[in-house]
Amino acid sequence: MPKILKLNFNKQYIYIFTFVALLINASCTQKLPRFTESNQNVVLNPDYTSISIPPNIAPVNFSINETANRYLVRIYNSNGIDFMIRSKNGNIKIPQRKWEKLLSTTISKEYYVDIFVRKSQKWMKFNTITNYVTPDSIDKYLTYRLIEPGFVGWNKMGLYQRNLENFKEKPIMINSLSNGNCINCHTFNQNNSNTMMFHMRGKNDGTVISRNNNITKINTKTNKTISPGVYSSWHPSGNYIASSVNKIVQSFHAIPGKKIEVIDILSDIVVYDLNINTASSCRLLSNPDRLETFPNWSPDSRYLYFCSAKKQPINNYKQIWYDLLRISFNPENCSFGEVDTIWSVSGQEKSISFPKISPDGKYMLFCISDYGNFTIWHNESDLYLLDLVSGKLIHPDINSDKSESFHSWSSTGKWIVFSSRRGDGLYTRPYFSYFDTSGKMHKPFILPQKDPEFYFNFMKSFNLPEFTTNKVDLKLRDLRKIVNSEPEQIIFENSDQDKSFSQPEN
Amino acid sequence: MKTPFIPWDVLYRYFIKFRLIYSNLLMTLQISNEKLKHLLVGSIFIVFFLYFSVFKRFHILFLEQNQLFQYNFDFLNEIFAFPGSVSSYIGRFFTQFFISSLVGALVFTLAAFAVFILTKYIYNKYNINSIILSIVPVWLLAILLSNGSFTFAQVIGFLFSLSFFSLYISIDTSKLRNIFYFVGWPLLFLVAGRYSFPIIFLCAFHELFYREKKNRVVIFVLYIVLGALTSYVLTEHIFYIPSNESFAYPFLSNLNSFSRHALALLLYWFPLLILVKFFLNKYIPIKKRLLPWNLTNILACTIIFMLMGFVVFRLSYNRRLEIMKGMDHYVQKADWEKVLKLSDTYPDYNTLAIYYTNLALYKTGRLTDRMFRYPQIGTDGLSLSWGKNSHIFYGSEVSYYLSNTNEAYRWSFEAMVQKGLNPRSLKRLVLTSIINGDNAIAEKFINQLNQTLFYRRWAQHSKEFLDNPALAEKDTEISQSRDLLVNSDFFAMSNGINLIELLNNHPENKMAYEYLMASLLLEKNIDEFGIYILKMKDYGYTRIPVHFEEALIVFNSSKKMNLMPEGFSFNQETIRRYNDFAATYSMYKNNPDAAAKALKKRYGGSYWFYLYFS
Repeated sequence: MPKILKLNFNKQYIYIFTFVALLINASCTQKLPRFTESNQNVVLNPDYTSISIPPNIAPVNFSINETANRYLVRIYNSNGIDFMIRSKNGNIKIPQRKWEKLLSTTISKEYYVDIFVRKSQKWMKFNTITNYVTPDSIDKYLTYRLIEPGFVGWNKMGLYQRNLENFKEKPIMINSLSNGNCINCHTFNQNNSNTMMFHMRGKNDGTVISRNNNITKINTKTNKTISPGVYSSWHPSGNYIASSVNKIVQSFHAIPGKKIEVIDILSDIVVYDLNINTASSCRLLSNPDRLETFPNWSPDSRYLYFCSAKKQPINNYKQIWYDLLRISFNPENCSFGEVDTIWSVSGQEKSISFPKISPDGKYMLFCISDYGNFTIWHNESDLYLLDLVSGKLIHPDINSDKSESFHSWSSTGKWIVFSSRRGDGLYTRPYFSYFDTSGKMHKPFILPQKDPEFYFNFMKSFNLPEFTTNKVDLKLRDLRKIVNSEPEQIIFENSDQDKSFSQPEN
Repeated sequence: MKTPFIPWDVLYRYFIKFRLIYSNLLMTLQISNEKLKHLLVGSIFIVFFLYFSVFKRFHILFLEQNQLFQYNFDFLNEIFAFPGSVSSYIGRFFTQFFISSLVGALVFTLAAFAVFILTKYIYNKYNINSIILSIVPVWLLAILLSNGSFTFAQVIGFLFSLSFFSLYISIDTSKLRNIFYFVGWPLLFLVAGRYSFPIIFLCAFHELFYREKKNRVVIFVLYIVLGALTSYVLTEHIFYIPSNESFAYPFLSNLNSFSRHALALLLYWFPLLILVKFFLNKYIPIKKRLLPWNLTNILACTIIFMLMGFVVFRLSYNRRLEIMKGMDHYVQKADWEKVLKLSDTYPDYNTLAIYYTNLALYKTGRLTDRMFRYPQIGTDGLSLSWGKNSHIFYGSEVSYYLSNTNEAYRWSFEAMVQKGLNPRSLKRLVLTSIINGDNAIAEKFINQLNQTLFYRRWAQHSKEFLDNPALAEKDTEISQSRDLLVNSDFFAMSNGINLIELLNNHPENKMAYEYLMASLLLEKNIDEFGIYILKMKDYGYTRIPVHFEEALIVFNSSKKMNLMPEGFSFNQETIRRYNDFAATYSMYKNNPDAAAKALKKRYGGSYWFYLYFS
């Protein structure tokens, strides 16, 4: 072929290629329509406006609460990421890859969301939404129980683990494997799923413990304790589990706005030593005149925080006010020292419940309500943050007029997850809030779902959400064998024979 | 002992006469034997339809109330939940139409007819020509469908299995048949659950006994191994259920003993039949076994079918249960007169029937005049006890009408948790949430109903109450309940209703007053009755209700008092009746049984009879 022709032939390819590239580019770069500014804020469901999100969270899909013919959403940042999503019904599903790219280029910065709606052939734009991408990632997994917010009975329930970076949810344990019993109070040791436990009530009852790839089932009820273990907490060493043992009475309110009252008429705390299959307690944790519950270990292993209230007759349930206490602990010989009152609210006729200490040991997050402890059924229950160093109590601006409860920290202490009924007052949903270096909690946002209307349709509550850094690797077949087996009986040491306490060496 | 005299010769003469008349009639009408066969089969299905549409209509209506079919993706996704979930899904789809009992009966009949057609097809393949044997699965279905636990999902599963086997035996080529089984049976297991297991044996027996292939033993073994392995693998690794429960789906609960046997027979009827047929063939040639289709045999068939019908009616049909379901249906419709009409036909004591009767008596203004004309079981007849799971579905009724809204909500929510989504619980949850002002949660429940075919309109109407609160205020039911909302908190009683607290909250709550008085009468607590009777004047009575009068006479007589609510006086007839009762009672002082017998006819419906003899 003559050189000139060859050159021309190559040029033709270049022109064709350029034309095609321009065409593709044109179709990808959608143009914004002509619009008018509404100067109004748009309402999104869920509310993902002015939030701080981690750089590894799944797309925050939402629906636009505005009646219109067409919807257009533009998501962009200052680093050149800019894409649009069109919708006919207002449901916006953000493509995963574009979302990941957006977040990875927006760390410690903001990204913007412009919402356009078309009504009567005219486009209107709402005020730009600005969201912040934090420098701190969130733990990759969230484990929770899915259960109806019922009264006494239950049906199908299970423990599930959700990958927070996408929408994958995997069952860890469902009660169809264990004859439909009640699975509850799952907890992990320091956000690590290699060490976890959960209780079962009803058929095949017992406590299932998974530790170092070994699954066992124990019966924590002894003839010297009030009940099997209820609220539990792992000692950081993984060698102990502190559990409350409670005699619980449930009553049902007649007045609108209230439904259930869960009252402890007896409660103590016991500590179970996994290595010797023995539980024990002490006078300070099992005072017959007091109700001790909600144990929570300090990250340095030296203290056990718990709630304590003066025992009351059941008719005086509104005068059961818990304070936050802690008792020193020697893990070498499982002995206890003195008790300190960390924060008292009983004098103000208030009650503390669910204390959860941050991974760095500097903060304590708990609920305060008017009385009692089962605060998921108390609309007035709010989360409070106690600075254990300065002793300052903060009422963060993450609460609502409905119940906030069942909270936990991420492994870094930068994120918290808590259960809230702010949506409809009944179904509990998990919310995340960023806890920044200045000690401020950012506006909470709900766990993202693939379907923006998921929470409106979903008829189960998310109970006891807990972060883990790794995947729960339990094989259902192994788990099934264990859950249906006879539990090993634990031994309880006489609580009158307190061991001598000595401060453990630093 | 004398042997009974049976005039066999007379009977035989009548039979010959009847036979002559019958065959002449057939000749006149020019009805061939073949047509007669079709007429006979047709009439069986007409009887089947009539049985369900007339005698089991409340049963059909109740089935619809127990479940919900939703037109959304999440509901559809449930078909992957368990083995047999596809059958459950399709079964629920049809069950939503049971909102009309006639449609339900028609669906049942068409399903039974489909079973009959498939059965005939299968029999033809094995040269079994017997109408009676073809009707047996239909008969078993009639027995099973009469049981409330046997939902239509089960029928769908059975139909899938029969269809699978029909397709299987229609394939002549062995290789194709084998491939069809190896590929198709796992799918059948997913679709039909427990109904796929008998198909393993059917197909295996078919290969072993009815095919001449040399490797038929190997195929037989492979079929069984595949069935066992597939169910094990799928349950262990796909569905989160124990493999020993793989037989349990579609879920079936609480079948009575007779129905359990009928189910077992239905499942293994076909495998057993083709086994028996194979071995019978060896000894009795088919030509000698086939009975001619003649008049005698037609008559014999008819008698056998009538006997089958008798078994269904006698052993599966439960009249008491049907009446109770009828009462339940009319309570849902708030047709109180019909509740009472059915209650009159209920033969003996049943907690639920009495509970509904008392409610209907109150709603028709007759509780305090006539409650003792009906069977009573103490205060258990006023409200259902919480602990019993069987009561969960019904317990919210009285609480709702008493304006004990939180309790009505609680019962309905628990029923929804136990039974799954169902229209009755959801509707009650919507209403109680609207009454309580919990609009957000009301909307959530409305959303569930909005995704159904037959409750969408009701849901949209309810949504208007949320969008326009003034409309809710205009609705009588909502506004009356709101007027009686509890404003001073108390706890629900573990058993019974806290009527005194309801009255403390709203003394004007007439139903709470009448239920309180009824409970005092039922507990024979005349002393407290004497306290509360004085409040009668606050409730607009124009006269003292009959039972109040009866109890007040006893109170005055025992306390030697002249207690009378202000503005009222005794009816002289009541005094006369009491004197007569007392005189007769005294006559039989030492013989209460004789006294009861003597007094029952005239005073069986009085409070005095209850007081002294219950």
